[in-house]
Amino acid sequence: MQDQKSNLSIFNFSKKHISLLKQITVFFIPVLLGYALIEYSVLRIPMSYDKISHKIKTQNNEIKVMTLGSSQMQNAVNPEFLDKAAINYGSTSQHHNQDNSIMVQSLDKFPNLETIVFELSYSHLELPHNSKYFWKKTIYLKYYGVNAFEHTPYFKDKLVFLSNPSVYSKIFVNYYIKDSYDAVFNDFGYNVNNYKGAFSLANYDEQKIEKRKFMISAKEDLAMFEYNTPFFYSMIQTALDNNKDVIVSCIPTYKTYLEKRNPEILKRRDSVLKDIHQKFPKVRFLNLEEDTITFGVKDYVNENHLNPIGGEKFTKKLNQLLNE
Amino acid sequence: MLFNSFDFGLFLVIVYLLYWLIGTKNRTPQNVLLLLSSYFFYGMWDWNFLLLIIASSLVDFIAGKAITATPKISYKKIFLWLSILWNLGVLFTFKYYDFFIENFAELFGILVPDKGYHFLKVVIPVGLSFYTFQTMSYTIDVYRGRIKATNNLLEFLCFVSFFPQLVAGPIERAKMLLCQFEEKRKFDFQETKEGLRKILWGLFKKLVVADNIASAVNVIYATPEDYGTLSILYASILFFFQIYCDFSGYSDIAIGTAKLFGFKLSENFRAPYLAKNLSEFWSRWHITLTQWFTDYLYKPLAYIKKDKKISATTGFFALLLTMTLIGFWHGATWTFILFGFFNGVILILERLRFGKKGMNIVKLSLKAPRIFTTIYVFGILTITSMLFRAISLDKLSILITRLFSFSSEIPFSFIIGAKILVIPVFILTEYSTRFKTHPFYELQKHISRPVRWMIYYALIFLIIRYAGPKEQFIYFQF
Repeated sequence: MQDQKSNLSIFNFSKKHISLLKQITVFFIPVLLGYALIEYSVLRIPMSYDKISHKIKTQNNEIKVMTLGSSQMQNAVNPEFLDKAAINYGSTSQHHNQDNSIMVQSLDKFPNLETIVFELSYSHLELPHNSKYFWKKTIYLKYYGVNAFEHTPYFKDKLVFLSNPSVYSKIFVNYYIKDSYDAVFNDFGYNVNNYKGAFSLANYDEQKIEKRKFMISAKEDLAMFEYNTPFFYSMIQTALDNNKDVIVSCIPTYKTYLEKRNPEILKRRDSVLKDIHQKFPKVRFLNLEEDTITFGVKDYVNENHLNPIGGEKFTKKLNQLLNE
Repeated sequence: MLFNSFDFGLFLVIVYLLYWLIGTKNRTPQNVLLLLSSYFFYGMWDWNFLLLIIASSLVDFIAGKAITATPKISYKKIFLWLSILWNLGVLFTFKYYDFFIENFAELFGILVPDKGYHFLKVVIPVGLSFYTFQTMSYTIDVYRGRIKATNNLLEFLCFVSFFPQLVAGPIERAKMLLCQFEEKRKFDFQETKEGLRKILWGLFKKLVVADNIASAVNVIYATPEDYGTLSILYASILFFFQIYCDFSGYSDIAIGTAKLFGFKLSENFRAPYLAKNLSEFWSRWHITLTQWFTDYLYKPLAYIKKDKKISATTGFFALLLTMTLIGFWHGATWTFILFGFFNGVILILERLRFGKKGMNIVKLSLKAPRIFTTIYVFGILTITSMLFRAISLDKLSILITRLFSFSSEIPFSFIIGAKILVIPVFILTEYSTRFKTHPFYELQKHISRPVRWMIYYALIFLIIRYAGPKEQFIYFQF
């Protein structure tokens, strides 16, 4: 009977083999359950992406302005202060290659989109694009419905905690254990409580801030510049081809940051701004990078990121330009 | 497909289940599955380079058969050299051509107009140096009569492309691996468990230790001009542990994965940081590569006539050349050449005799207290780490200048903070289990299942929690 059974079976696993597979299965059940619990808990923490996702789903027909860029853009534009309905896709570490994926794959979602605002910071063109392993691709897929992966995504690509365990562990601990998660997002996903940073720690004391050491990209990379510049041009061209107005913006930075910029990098970036002006006459500019009069020490989180007060000022300037 | 990716995990589960489902009655279907899986695994990087690996396999398979078939030594030599030329030619074209052209032009001061000479600028196929050396060793061993040429193409193709060790070794000899494809496989419950444990330990080394250390090393090495002596020293020592955990972690996963399929691969590391001198270090570090160069380059150079040792000077020259080429094997840059050369010089210095009793540094180090030998070995490793990690001579010069600047522009900080503690914990774990192939070897003999599982769960938790940004295995680039 036993022989008959084994002959009929399509499996050639021995008893020991089946025992091993059973052990492995039993072993991994708690791992999977534990992970599912963590993932669920993380998804319940209020996040900017969540709010933006809600906007995309509920107000896609009303959106007229889309802003793209890094954390500088994320902090600078609070859509609350714009007359036109807007969505701010700016996000920490986001480079032009992600901006492009988001733009291209979002155009159809916003039938009434009129304007796209790009960011071109001082060092943007000489910093490498994010690698194919960039963790926020999961965020784009899960919340924005944008596939920035270079493959057909599958369920693992939507697992938020696994996309960056280090970041989400900290958020998890701050939210559930330490109760120190202080981000407060408005309906547009803008953190209106984003004041904590080097400048607030220094009590906005300009003397202390001037002595502060901070990270600034001063490394020239011509090869990168030669790659990134045409890429940025192609993004502008895509937007124009889709009949969208384009604004290229340079976000304000604090005076100590301005002083530390590498003049060669700056020269090349400025030449690109001039070149864009000639090549794409329809493109408008909002270059407030060196505006040290409007933006003072109390408008910043740190040397190159605005706080909500600075963000309000910048957004109002953007609003003026959009209404012109 | 990286070993530390979810994709690989899924791939492994599917291949594993299919492999044992096929059954062990006939090894051919299992070999076919392994070959297809290996080509799929490799093709996930770039399908185009599959042709190259197939071509290399065919050349060496035919060369092996031809060497066996022909009775004349002179013909055997021709087939051997054809195979060697093919393999070195492939390596040269994909890995070294641009380096030679660039340096040739610079050396002879040729004012080359734009596009006056042609750079190939091709991507180096993943694992090229590994599988090329593996196939080359096969032909040489057939020529030397150490092994018989195989008549089974399928088995030979499997030997060249076996996915657990295809992209970064261990570099296996036909005597060790090819014969395993010729035998029926038996499912071994205990070996499979050991394989899984080894994979777990390898993942821990790679994801928790190496990748987290990398975040600190990358910061300092990106702009070394901003850092002083302590930071450079710190980053260089960290880099040694990074590369060790990265590569030995990869090797552990490779060996563990092979075990799941009933194969045994060579160990590639034996706690190299415990070495008392550089000679011992190289017998503990990337063992399969060192043995390859020893067998196929150093020994033929140092022992020209059988059983007759040549002069010390020629021996030293052979050693220097071998080590320089080991450096060059890693990549077509002057920093790698210097890396090899520097190691060669130290190895020679260690062997130079002084005093009446024919003492040398190697002998001395064996008697010296551990603290002195550790400082000595890590002193050398600091320099070799810089040579290995610096991407250009300019960068290397900045690193060395900053190392001896005895200043620190940015105040020294540990950068990765408390995570640095993982290194002593890791060393203690490895040290206390140094006589085993991995720390969990035969754990069931000492610890009950619930405790064992708690240890595994803790490791899995750490792997998930502290998995840093996804870093490719360093040795994949070679």
